[in-house]
Amino acid sequence: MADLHELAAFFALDALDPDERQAFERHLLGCEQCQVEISELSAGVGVLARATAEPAPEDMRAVVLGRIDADPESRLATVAALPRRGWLAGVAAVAAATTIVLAVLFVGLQTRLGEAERVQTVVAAADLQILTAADSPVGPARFAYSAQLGQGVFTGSGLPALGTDQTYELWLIGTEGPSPAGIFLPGEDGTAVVLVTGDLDTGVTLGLTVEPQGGSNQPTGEVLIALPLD
Amino acid sequence: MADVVFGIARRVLIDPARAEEVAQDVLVEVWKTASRFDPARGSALTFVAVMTRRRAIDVVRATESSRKRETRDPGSPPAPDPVADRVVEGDENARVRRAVGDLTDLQRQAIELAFYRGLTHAQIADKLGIPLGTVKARVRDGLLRLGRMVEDGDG
Repeated sequence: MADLHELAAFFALDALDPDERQAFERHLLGCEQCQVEISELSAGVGVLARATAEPAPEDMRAVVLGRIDADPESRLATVAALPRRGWLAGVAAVAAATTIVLAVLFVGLQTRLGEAERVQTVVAAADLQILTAADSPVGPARFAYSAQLGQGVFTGSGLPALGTDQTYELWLIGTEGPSPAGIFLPGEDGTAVVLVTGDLDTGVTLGLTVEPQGGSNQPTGEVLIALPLD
Repeated sequence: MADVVFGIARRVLIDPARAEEVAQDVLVEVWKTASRFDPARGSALTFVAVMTRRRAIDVVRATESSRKRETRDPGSPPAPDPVADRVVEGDENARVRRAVGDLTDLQRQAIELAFYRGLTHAQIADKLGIPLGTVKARVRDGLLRLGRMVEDGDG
């Protein structure tokens, strides 16, 4: 099937019918010429795409960011994908995956100071500390924080689902006792990303309890996780 | 990236509201799958563009809105909005638009029918009344010409 070469351009456009695409993909595995050509043709598709750009509606950016914020899975992926510090300086070096994340982030940054930006700010902080609770009764959890910023990001995975009348609640426990640091429910997959704002100095401990729906002013449940800040 | 995603969805679907729905879905999915993105498969933008185009065409097919679209000039861009153009038009955007404008009519028509209308090479040959081999050659030549533009320093 010599004329399979001729399908490279339509493959790059994703405009082959399923049978042709399968045949071409098989051909592509063994055809170096087509492999080279596909990358050139794909660059052409990229130019075509950019020429089609049209200003997106302003509210679309906010809606997209809102949907991302509301999805614990994607939020967790974001924290994992971001370089740990100095991302502005290191952008050139980071992987393509992170570039996409940043590109999408910038979409939001233009219009809204959203949660994603705050996560990013914490992760990029020069004094970033990461504490890990590996053996907690509610699965592995981490707290990445910057004392300078007074902001941190709690991430949990494997958090058991709660009854409808219950909530998880984070606490900052200092010399003057515990103060509420945010309530949350994990996603269906047991993950959660929670932003914590407050006094994150040495001597303070981040705690996690289960509380009645709506949260409490003082912890009433068993302390499931306790992470003393350095 | 949002402007490219929205632009492609709008070009395929025409209707801005439906284009926005598709664009939202794509951007959320890009976010979710970013860590699984394989750079070997092409640039991030091309990857996302192809994904957007696929989604938009699926929507057209699913809702049979193609019948309404038949009354329009196939693949033609929406009426230009001078204000919007100023917003989106950086030097780079002007350059890529010129590059597409510099294609021969046949190259551009064939590429646009394939990309924005989802036509196969056989359908394009039929529609334009030209031999199949010519369609394949023009699409290939046109895309390579656009791709070379990147190598010429467009980045």
